[in-house]
Amino acid sequence: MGGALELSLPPDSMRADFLGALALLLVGSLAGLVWNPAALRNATITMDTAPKTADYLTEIDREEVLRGLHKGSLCVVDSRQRSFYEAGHIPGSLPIWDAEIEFMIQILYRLIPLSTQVVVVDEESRGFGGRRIAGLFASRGYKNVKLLKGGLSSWRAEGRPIIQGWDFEGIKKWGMSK
Amino acid sequence: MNKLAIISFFLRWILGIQFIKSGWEKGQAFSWWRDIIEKMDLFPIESTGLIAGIIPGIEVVLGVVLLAGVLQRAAAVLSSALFLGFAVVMFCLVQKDAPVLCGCFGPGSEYPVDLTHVFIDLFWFLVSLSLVFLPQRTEAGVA
Repeated sequence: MGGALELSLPPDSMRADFLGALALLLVGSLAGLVWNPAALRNATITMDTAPKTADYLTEIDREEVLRGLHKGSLCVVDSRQRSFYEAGHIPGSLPIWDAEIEFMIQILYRLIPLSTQVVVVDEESRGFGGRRIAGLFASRGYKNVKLLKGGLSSWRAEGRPIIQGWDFEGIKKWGMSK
Repeated sequence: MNKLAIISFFLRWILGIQFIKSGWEKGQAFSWWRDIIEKMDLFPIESTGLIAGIIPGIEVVLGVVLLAGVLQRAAAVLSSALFLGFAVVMFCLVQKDAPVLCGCFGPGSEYPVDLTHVFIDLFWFLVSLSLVFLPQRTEAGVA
């Protein structure tokens, strides 16, 4: 038999081939779900599934944060409530409030590469809110998550830069204004 | 054994091994793979777990079937559809300029998505499609 003849597809088998492909798709899908049953659960890490706090996380010096902000090498996340953020925050820091925490983490997760150093700010050095949000970032795969040493109260006490109201610098920097 | 049967045999094995490796690596690192799908931001967030779960299963089953040489045309049809889907996804990511890793072969192969991925997937799509028309194991009498 010549090659040209062998290359032709028997028309009768086309339907059977498509049904076979469908069967393989179903078998493969089932196998995948049996293999990883977690696939059927909600993919998003929620406040229920994420660690409540991240006590294992280390702190970062305020000077180092300032240098990182100037260089643009780190992402500062403000974990305090909205009114506190508006009253005064580190320039370029991104706000994450309790009410929208999961939504905002999802957005940030898409915009900030996992290799980025994330510094979480709370009023105090190891405030509960800060540790909780740092834990969410860490559980999302961010390898370099740190808490601001002394919190914002120490930052403020040292007379370091603080701005009030809304701050679009950080929001634009990480592409949130798109 | 004619030339076409030999080509068919090699293509089957190359695709089969590739699918098994790719599916196995993804399935073993499910959380990592699910994160990749989520970061692509192309599918509804509720469906990313399901997509991440079924793709490795389909790849492994497809790989085994191709290596075994049974249902070759059906496997080739599914393989073509899969690679075409991958190419479309990669193209969408390139269009979005999304900073996402391809995740093709698990955590060991973390390459940012670029146009090369689109062409690679299209190449494998054509390879898969050619298997639809090449002789099957039972027709050619090869292993």
